Amino acid sequence: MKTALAVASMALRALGAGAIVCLISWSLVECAPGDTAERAAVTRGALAPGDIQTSTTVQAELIAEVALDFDLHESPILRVPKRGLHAIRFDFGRSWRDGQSVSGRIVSTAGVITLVLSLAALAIAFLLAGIGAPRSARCPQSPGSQIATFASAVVLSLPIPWIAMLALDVFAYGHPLSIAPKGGMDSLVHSLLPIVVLAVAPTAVFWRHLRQEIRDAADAQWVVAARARGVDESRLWNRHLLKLALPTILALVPVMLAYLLAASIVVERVFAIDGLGSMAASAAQDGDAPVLIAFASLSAMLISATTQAMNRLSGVVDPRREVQS
Amino acid sequence: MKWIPRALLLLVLLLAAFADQIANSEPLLETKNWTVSAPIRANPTDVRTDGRIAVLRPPSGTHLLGTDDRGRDVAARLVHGSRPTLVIAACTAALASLLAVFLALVASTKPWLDRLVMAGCDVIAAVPVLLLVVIVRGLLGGSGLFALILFISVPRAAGTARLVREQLRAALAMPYCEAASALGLSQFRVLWRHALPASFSQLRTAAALTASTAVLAEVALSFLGLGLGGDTPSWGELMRQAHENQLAWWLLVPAGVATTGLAWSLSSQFGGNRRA
Repeated sequence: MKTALAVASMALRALGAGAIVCLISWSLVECAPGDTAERAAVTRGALAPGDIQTSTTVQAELIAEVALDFDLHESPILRVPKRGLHAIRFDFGRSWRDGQSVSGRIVSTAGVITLVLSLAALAIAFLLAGIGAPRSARCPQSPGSQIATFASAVVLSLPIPWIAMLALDVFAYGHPLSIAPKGGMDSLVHSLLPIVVLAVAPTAVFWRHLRQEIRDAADAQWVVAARARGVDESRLWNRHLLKLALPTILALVPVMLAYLLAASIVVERVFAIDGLGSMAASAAQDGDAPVLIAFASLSAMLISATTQAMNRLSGVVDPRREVQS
Repeated sequence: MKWIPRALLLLVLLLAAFADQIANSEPLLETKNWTVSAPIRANPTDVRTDGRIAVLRPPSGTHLLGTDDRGRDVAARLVHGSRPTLVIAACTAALASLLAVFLALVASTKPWLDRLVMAGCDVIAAVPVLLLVVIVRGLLGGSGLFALILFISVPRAAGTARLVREQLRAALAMPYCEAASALGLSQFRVLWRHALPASFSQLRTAAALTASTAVLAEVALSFLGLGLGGDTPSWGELMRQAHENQLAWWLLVPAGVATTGLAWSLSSQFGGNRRA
C-alpha cells in the first residue's frame, strides 16, 4: 500500500512537472514575434515565409483555415491553460507540419526508441564506472589511473556530433575497422554504436565522481577497522566502499538522463534513428511547436520521475539518508 | 603541462585575430618586384579555384585541407570559423556572468526573493544547455549571433547564479561584512563592495566553463542547422557537411580537433576540470 502510494505520488508530481513545462512553452509560443496561426500556416506549408505574391485576403483566409484546423482560433488566454490540461492526459495536439497526432507518434515509436537508447547508455556508463573507479581509487598514481583521469577530462570537451561521426567512420564504415553495425533500431545489437557514443560522457562523469567518493570514504575509521579484522582488500574496495559511494552516483542519474535526452538530438541525427531527438531537431528547424512542446514536457516528466525514484533508491542503498531526510 | 591549454587558447585567439591575414586570396602586400601572400591563399566564401568549381576535393597543394561541397577552401573556413566561435564563447561567458551576478545580488536582498530566484535558477540549470536552446530556438524562432548568445547565456547564468549566491552568503557571514553593516553602510553597498569580490574566483571558473559549454553548444547547433546560418563559416557547419558528404575526413577531423582543443583549453584554463 505504501509503495503504491509512493508510486502514485511520483507519477502525479511528474505529470505536474510536464504540465507546467507545457504551459510555459505554450506561453513562449504566444509571446514569440508574429501571429501564432500565421507561423502554424508557414510550418504547414499553406503559406510561404515572407509571401508577397498572395493577396492579403487569401492569406487571411488561409491563416484562418489553419487556425481552425489546429485550435488556434480561440484567445491565447483560453487556449494556453487548455493545452496544459491536455498535457496531463498525454494529449499534445497535432503536428503543425504533417497534421499527425504528436502523442501517437511519441508513444508508439519515437519515445520508446530514445528511452531504450538512453537507458542502455546509462546502464553501460554505470557498469564501466563501477568497474573502473574502485581500481583507480585504489591506485591513484598508477599510469592507468593517470591516463583515465586525463581522458575523462578530454572526453567532456568532445563535441557530440564529432564523437558520433568518428565512431561511425572508424567502427562501422571500415576506416580502418568494420566491426559494428551501421545503426538502425532493428535490435539492440544494431544500435550498439549510438548507445556507446551516448555512454561516453556519462561514463566519464560517473567515473570521476565515484572515484572521488571512494577515495574520500577510504580514509574513514571503519575502513581501518575492517582491514584490522582481515577483510579482503578487493572486497573492501569493490563492495563496501563502492556501495557507500553509490548514492552520489544515483543523485547524478537524473542529470545524466537530461544530458542523454539532449545528446540524443544530435546522435539520432547522425545515425539516422527516428527517435524523439531526431523528431525534436526537425521540429526546431521547421518551427513545429506541438512536437517541441511534447518533447519538452516529456523530458520534464521523465527527469522529475527519475529524480524522485533515485531519491528513494538512495534511501534503500544507504538507510542513513532516509533517516536524515 | 599547464602550458598546453594556454598555448592552444592563444593559438585560436591569434587565428581569430589575424584570420584575414592568414586566409586571404588577395595579396597582403604588393610592390613592383615582390608580393606577400597569405599562408592560405583562399577566402572562406570563394567557390572557384582558377575559374573552376572543385567540390569535395581532398587535401592537396592548392587546398591544404581540401574543399567542401561548394568548392570552398576548408582551411580558410576553419581559420575564419574560429571568429564566431570565440565571439560566442566570450560574449556568452560575459553575459552569463553579468546575469548571474545580478540574480545573486537580487536574491541576497530578501529571503522570499532568494527562495523564488534560486528555485527558478535550479529548474533552468537542471536542463542541459543544448536541450533548452533547441526547444527555445524552435519555439521563439530567431537566428543570428545575438539570439544564439542569449539562448546559451540564460541557462548557464542560472547555474552560475547559485554558485555566486553561495559565495555571497558565505561572505556576508564573515566579520568584515558584519562590521561594514554595523558601520551603517547600505545593504547594496555591503553586497557590491565587500561581499561580491569574494565570489570572483568562483565566477572566473564558472565563466571558463560557460565559454567551453558555449563552444560545444554552438558546434552542435550549427551541426543541426540551428546555428548562425547563411554563409558564415563555422566549425559545426563543417561537421554538418562531413555528415552530409559520406563523412569526408578532411571536413570532419580538423573541425573536431579544433573544437575539442578550444573547449578543453577553456575548461581547464581556470581549474574547471579539477573542480568537475
